[in-house]
Amino acid sequence: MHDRQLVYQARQAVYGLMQRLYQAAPDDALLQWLQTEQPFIEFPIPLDNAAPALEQVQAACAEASTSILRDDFRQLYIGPGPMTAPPWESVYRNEDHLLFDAHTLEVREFYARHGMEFVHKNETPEDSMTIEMEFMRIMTERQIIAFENGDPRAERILIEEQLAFLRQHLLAWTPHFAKLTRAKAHTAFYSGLVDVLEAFLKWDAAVLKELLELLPEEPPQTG
Amino acid sequence: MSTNGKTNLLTQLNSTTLNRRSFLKWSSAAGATAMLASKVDLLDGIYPLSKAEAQGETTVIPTGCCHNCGGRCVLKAHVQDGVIVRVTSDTDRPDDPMDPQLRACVRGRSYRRRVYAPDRLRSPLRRTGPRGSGQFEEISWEEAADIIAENLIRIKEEYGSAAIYNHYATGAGNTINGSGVVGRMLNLFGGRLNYYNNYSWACTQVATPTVFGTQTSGQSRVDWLNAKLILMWGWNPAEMIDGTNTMYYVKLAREAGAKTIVIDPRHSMSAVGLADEWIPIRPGTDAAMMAAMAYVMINEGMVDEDYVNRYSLGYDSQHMPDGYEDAESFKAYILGESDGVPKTPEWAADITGVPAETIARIGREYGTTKPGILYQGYGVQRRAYGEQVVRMGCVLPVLAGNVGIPGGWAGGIAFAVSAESTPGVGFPGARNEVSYSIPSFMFTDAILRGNEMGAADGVRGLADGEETLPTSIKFLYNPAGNCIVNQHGNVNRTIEILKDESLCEFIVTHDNFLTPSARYSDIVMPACTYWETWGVTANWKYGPTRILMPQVVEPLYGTKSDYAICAMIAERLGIYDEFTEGGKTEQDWYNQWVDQLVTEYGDVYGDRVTFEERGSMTVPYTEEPTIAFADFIADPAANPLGTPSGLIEIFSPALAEFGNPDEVPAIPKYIQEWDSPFGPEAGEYPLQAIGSHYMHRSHSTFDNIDWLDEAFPQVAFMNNLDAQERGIADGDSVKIYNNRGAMIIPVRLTPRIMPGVVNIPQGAWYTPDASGVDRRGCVNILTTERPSPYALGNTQQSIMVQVEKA
Repeated sequence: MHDRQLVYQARQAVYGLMQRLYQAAPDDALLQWLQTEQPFIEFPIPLDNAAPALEQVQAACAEASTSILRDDFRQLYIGPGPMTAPPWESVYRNEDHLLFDAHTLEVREFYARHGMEFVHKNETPEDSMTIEMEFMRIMTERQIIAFENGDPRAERILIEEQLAFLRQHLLAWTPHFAKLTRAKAHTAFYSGLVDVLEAFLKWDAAVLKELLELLPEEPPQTG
Repeated sequence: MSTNGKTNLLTQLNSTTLNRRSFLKWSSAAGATAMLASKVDLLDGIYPLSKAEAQGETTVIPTGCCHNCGGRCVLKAHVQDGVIVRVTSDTDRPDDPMDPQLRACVRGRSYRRRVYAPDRLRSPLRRTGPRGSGQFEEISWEEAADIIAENLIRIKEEYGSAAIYNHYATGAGNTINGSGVVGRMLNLFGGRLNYYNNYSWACTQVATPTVFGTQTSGQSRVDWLNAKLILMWGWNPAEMIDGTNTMYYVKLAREAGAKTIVIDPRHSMSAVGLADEWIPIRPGTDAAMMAAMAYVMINEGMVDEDYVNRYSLGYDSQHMPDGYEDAESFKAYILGESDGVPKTPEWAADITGVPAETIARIGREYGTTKPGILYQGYGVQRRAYGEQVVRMGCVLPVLAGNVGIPGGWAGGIAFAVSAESTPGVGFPGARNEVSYSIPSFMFTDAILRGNEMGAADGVRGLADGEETLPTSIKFLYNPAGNCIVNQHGNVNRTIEILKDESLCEFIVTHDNFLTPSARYSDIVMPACTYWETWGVTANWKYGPTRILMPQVVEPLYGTKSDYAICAMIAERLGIYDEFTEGGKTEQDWYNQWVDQLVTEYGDVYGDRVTFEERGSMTVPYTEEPTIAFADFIADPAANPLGTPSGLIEIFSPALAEFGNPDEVPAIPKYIQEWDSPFGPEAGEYPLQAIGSHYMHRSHSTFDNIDWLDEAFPQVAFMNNLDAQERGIADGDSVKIYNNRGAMIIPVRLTPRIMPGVVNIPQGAWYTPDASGVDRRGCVNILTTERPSPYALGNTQQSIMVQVEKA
């Protein structure tokens, strides 16, 4: 039988890595880590559909330089000026294609429900890829604590919420984001990475759905 | 749920497949920065947040829209939890001719799209590739301010303060932001090369006073209600917004009985919405039609010559200025006595493309319908000989007796007397220690050969015996501006000059976006929009208004106001205390200004709370507007004009002394332009091009706003007849080119433009492809840098082109 805790830890690790990789282009230390640790070869989760993408990203790490990756990250995700694939949910979800739109506020509310607030609230939008990854990572961390505390009810709630966040948010915009990235990335690193991201999120949703079925229903509310 | 599929994925997972060995060490190695913080002590499970609490209350903050169209309008930001969720305008109080609503148009109403555009600049940038390459790297605010200050200090030491130049820029028009703030900082640092003229009004600002001795030759818009006829000559308030709500006053004038006639190569929005008649005219020939109208008025006895001669000099040969008794009078020119060419409607018809009978009829209508207004738009004077149409347009009102009377209009630039002016608020003045000033349209020349430019190039402020400027421009400051590339004549020439780093050694831009001008800068400072800081704005040409602009939302991405950016630089220049008056913030200044307005105008709009709730104030128009030149008409001897003679100078001795009679005649004349359908250039480039103001943009501001691009796409407007000859169909991609450059953009075929004329709305962002062909439709790829002969103003509307299917 599987080890739930191990699954949680694997998810936490992937969300943590994705958060970092969509926050900024790798610096020297991170690139070196990517080259020596080979995380995409030693990927903790068997993403069968994305095996070529994982190989592609790992191979790209070996050839990449920080400046090439930085240039590609700029043109894809930060500019200056118009960027290829703006890494914010509201750009894809709202017809206005703006930042700080209705979906940003929905995401804000989602975080708030879990007692979280973006440290740069109202200075930069919280529905960016990196922050949504961080949210999932923190939720997973809490899942691990709930598991360790022997609190399956809390585990279940956290899974329901993550599944909701994936369905309502991440899975709703990542395909559009991925399509633009794939079309215009200059490096195999970023075109492959977004494939890995997409495959991972799909896998995660499926796994969370299965986990739900293993965990007890929430007991009826009293009072 | 079927039992079968239940654990499909999970059963695959075990300590082998999960690769535990590797991922347990990941989190620390990846080194991500945590950015989600606990807002409250975590509860078990979900933090119970009510819907209302999550969404927060919506507050409405009145603010404004103040770019450089002719409007300064009220916008209301609806803010929820620090986010602008909706924008409305000044609609919840009654409209009133004495205190009109300051309603915004589509541009202002799209403001959220500027603030929340994904492509906002977020970080200071340092150029890493050649100028124009668009290659930049993010640097810290401190480093950027250091670099700017170091270069200011270096260039001042090496070349002197006259090498530092802050170019005309109008992207942010309130007290805290934009060009004036940078000018003040540079003045405190020892000064800078100044400029005069602007890209809007150069010829009319210079030419109007040659006739009337002042630029204040107009009156309140409420007086238009007294007019019986309004000739809207190249005047398009519906699109260029010549003062917030000017359209409203034209509508009221029509309701009060005025007939309106639009004379314009385009069937503009004003022709559609405000006119009884549209008369298409060939661009650059307005002075010819006016001359023929004068011919009709003189020839058919509509001119009260005693009246004209009582108030003016140079109308006929008996009333010439002293010393010019034998010079050519206006009447002699019009009747053809001096040059053998009577300026008949038939003569003008060949030039203007307007039928002779129409010209004669309009001449009669204007000559007999009193009081009447001949309102000059500004596009007609951004031309090769823009001085002439302005002067001619000032003379016709004199012949018609429309000067100094209610419902009349003297013409020219026509700033309004009295009630329109309200005391401004703003930073205390800082004297510019550099005396030199150049025509703004000559700034590229001042980069190329400033140290050779003297009085003949329009340089003002040279000391006695000083022939030229001491230095060329070495430091170009461009705060909230797009004139250093996009909006200046002849983009290809401009960028060649800017690319040469040995000429202008340092270029700085402050902006919200990476504009074509920002691309040519060495340092780009990411300014916040003016909704993210504090300020006050004032009316443009018309409407005695002040609009308060309190902070609507916090600055995004850590961007800063132009004031705050300058304060950082001022600190490094050792002038922080002078610049900030001991550390005042934007809000401190705002409070000071609002208090000042309340103190001075409390009777108009009540106390501060009332004022801030409404967010704007208009000094109500008086029932009886002051009429320009009424006192002069009543008693010219007692109330002389500001001209050398004290009279209206139809003949200007100053222009006669200028010594270039072919291009700068002493009486207004029609002069064939240097880029003309009648010149040899028409062989290769047979079509005239113009660059109209467009609802999409305020000049180049808003060009990157997609909504506006959908509603008002950047296309070339071309008459079906011209298209047929060229095998061009509606929607085709066309190449528009001349000897200066080329663009490829879609074409829209329309009967709403005169045959022979192509309109490429001005302000689109220059976007070259690999071969240098502009793909966006920046009209200045086709325009000239050659200034008009007397005002040395921009002539960017005189363009000849060819168009072919791309």
